Amino acid sequence: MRKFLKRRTFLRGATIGGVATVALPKLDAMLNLEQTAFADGSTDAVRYLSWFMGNGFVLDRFEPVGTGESWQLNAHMQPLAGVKDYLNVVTGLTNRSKETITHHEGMTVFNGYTMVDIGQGQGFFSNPGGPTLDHLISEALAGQTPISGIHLGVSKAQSPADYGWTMHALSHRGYLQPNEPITSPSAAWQSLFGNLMQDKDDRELRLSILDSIKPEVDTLKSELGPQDNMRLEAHLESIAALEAKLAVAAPLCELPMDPMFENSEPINNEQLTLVNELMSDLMAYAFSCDLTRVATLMFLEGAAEPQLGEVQGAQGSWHNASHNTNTWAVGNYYDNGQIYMMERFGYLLEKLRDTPDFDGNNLLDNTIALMSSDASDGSVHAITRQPMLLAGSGRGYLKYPGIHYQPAPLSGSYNYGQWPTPSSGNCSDVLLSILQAFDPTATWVGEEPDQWGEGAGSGTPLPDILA
Amino acid sequence: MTLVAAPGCQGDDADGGGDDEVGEDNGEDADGTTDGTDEGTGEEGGDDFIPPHGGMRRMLDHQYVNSIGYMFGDEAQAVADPPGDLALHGYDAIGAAEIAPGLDLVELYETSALEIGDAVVANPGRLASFVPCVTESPGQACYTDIAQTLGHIAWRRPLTDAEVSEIVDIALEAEEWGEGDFNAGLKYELVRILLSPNFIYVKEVGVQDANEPEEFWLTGPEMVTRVSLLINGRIPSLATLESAEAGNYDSVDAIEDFARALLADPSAPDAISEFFGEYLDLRIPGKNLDAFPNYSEALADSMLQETDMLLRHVIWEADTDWRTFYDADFTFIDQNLADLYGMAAPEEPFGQVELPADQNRAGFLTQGTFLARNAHADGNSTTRRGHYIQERMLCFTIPPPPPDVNPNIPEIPEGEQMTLREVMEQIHLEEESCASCHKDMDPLGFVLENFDALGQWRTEDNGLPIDSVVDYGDWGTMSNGVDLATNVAMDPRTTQCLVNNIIRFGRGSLEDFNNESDEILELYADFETANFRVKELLVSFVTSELFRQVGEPK
Repeated sequence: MRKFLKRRTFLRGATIGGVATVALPKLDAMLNLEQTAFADGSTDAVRYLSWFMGNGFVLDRFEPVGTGESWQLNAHMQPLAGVKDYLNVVTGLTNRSKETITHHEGMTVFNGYTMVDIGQGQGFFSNPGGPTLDHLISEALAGQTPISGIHLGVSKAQSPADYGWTMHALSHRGYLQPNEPITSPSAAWQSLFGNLMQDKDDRELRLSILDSIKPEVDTLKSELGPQDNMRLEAHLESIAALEAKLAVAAPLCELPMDPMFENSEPINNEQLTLVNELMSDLMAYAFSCDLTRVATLMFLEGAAEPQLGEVQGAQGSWHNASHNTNTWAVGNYYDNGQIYMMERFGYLLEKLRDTPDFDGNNLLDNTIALMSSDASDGSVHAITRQPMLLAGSGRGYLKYPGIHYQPAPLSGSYNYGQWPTPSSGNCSDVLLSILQAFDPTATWVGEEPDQWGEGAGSGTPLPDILA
Repeated sequence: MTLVAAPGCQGDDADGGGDDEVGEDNGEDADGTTDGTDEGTGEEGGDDFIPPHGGMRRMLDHQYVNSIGYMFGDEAQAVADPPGDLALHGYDAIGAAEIAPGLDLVELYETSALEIGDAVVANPGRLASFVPCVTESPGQACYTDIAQTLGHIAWRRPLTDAEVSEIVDIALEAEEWGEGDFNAGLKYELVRILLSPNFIYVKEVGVQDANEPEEFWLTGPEMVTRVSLLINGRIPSLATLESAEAGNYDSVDAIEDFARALLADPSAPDAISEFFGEYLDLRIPGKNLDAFPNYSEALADSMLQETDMLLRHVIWEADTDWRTFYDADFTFIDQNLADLYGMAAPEEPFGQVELPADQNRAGFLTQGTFLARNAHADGNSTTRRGHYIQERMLCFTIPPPPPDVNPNIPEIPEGEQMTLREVMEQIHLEEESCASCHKDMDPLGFVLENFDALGQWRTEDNGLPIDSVVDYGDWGTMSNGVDLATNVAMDPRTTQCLVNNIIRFGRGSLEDFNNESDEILELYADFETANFRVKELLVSFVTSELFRQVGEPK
């Protein structure tokens, strides 16, 4: 009986099992080291990934000390010490979202668009105004790998009162076109590798079926209006995505085992450290096998309310902690949690660093990763000085060793709990810089300026971080 | 006015479709049809009603799974695992009408269809009840029968010869791949049918009204599909489809009869509980075991069952006033909940019991589901409880905090002991910028402070006595859960809000007071006339223009 109240989406994938977790084998043991070229025959593949943690930063403990080449990790970035040379840190720039409803506007640093559909009678509601950077990169790399992108999540928690999609996914192909994060490691494995491990090869047959249903989609389009036509176009893209997977002749590496872990524990009791490791390992596998070159990982959604039980001193929800002055002091929950988050991001970066790529570099050499949050100062939902942390050198595209770019230092009077100043420039400049690594012809990212010259998009890359 | 009958609304009820003599006051013509051919009721022609866009909706996952069960039996239903629903505005049905498919959508449907195919090959009995040749004379000719009959059910319309041929071609290709195995052809033929957008998407475009060009009447087959998906949670039966195709469900009376028949079907309570699953959204977060050592997932499951049993009692067993869900002086518990609430366990594993008077419990708002859902892992949240009541019970929207408001919780001076209420009064109700919204949330939560974050009765918070008395506008002075429950139950917004939410779930679009106000108000009135019985509300809804009409395809 209860299943009807316990929503099915919450149970998704739970039928597979999940009683045991199989450690994934070491990557270097799985790689076909004789391989010297990527899936498309090229030798210069670059990967992109977005990484997100909800509820902002403590800027005076996050922003690096010093600028330019001579900078030092601040307290909250210490977990990234092992990959410091791979970091280009951008602070002090302004997120130019034209609207603010708390949290949602922070997502603009991943797409350059102000969110739309604000409110609509439901208060904390909006939808993203355009595609996220990862999707633009997937489009630029179309056809080069079997999978255009993999979109993962760690915590299943969402704000209990957020009915739009701006924050429920880190990757969007456009307005109301979310790439919903997969939060089950087993389902993520299935999505990446399941179609490469068939008992009996019926792929030709299945391709025939897909081919034969396409005309039905076209017929349906002729009977419907423009919005549904757009959705049916997405359906055709989904067919094409499966066709691309079925067309893979042979993977470039041996495949990992299904981790057999569903991440089905209730909110507040999730095993976030374990899930993050499994997801990070799968991303590294996917990159090293050249199944995809684009990934996103939403570690914890903005305004989400889980208690992070693995953080020392955890008391109450993480979102609540961002607003609760009692948790902010050094050594308290919110402070410890910031370090915990960077440890999780650091796990992925070190995994990439420790994984050889076909060209003899490691994966981090050949990756650009963008990390940010839904605010700069999470307690007041500020979007001034919203940090953007870039990791990986993108096959020599970004500075290595990396720098700290900061137009002006954080005000000395700032304390966590205030809108940080001074703030200048435009966060979307960073997006355009990254996009041009994959699409050198790109001249703009995000929304165009309105009649008053306001807009979150950018046509000016940030040269300071480029090699 | 030109008398042009909209196809599908001909009113030529051949058999059993309702040879209507009397129209009810919800939009049908005097002859019981819905063809918009006259203005006799005052609603057809010249009204201000503009229905939401028609178009296509992706079948919801429970509808897909139940439809697989109907077509192929229990074994296939057990392995059916379609892509998860994506909610928008709080409803999967709205997401299914608005959100673009994910890139993995077809792959997930294919994985599900392949599993279903294997299950049907191993257990062909149910399919054979529609297509006997599957077991009686398996052979290539049977592939045509399957395509015609199963295709008709799955796609909710007869297939063209060309469509049948396309499907049979796949079956033959698969049979050859399977070295002549009929079942190989069967499996992939089913995959072909189930992967078609004609199965996955429900098309609702209707036929344009001759007099109101912005209104399109759903056809008979579209109507029985829409009603079945809502009340049965699955696609309609083959017999119903064929009857609808023959014009037997073109009249509103026939639709009413059909709805009543479905409401009497054993599948109806489960399907309607899917609505309440979304409306109440009772995902109970885990609790901090240091603070609540008696929390367990089994306890959370018991809580969910308690609420579900009360719902089913009110709607189906007692068929009584919906407001009983809020002010019932009884509930349904097992040993887990008996321990939690400090009550004696019933004799049966899960049974009906009277609520203890000394805890002032009444209905849903004093059940563990509501109380634990709207609390933190380690303690109460008066804000969340109040917010949930305002938003879900009363359809009153609380805006997010404006950007210039400092939302931070101040540090409580060391050594100072305060109740949660005292803290919240200080930080949420003293500053006008906060109080303007929080005055409608926290006070409702204060009334429930005698229930902790699991729903257990308590008299102290943080070592201090609990003050649960509040004075809240028209609701007056409330001091306990019964007072709050009574006010929620008796507030007219509560029943109206249920109507709004059923509209959202049932047709996949928000109610629109700019263009549908008369029809929505009429549905409110119908619900009241029916003494707030949910089954009657469903009948009124599916026979209203709100349900039977769509606008231009979106």
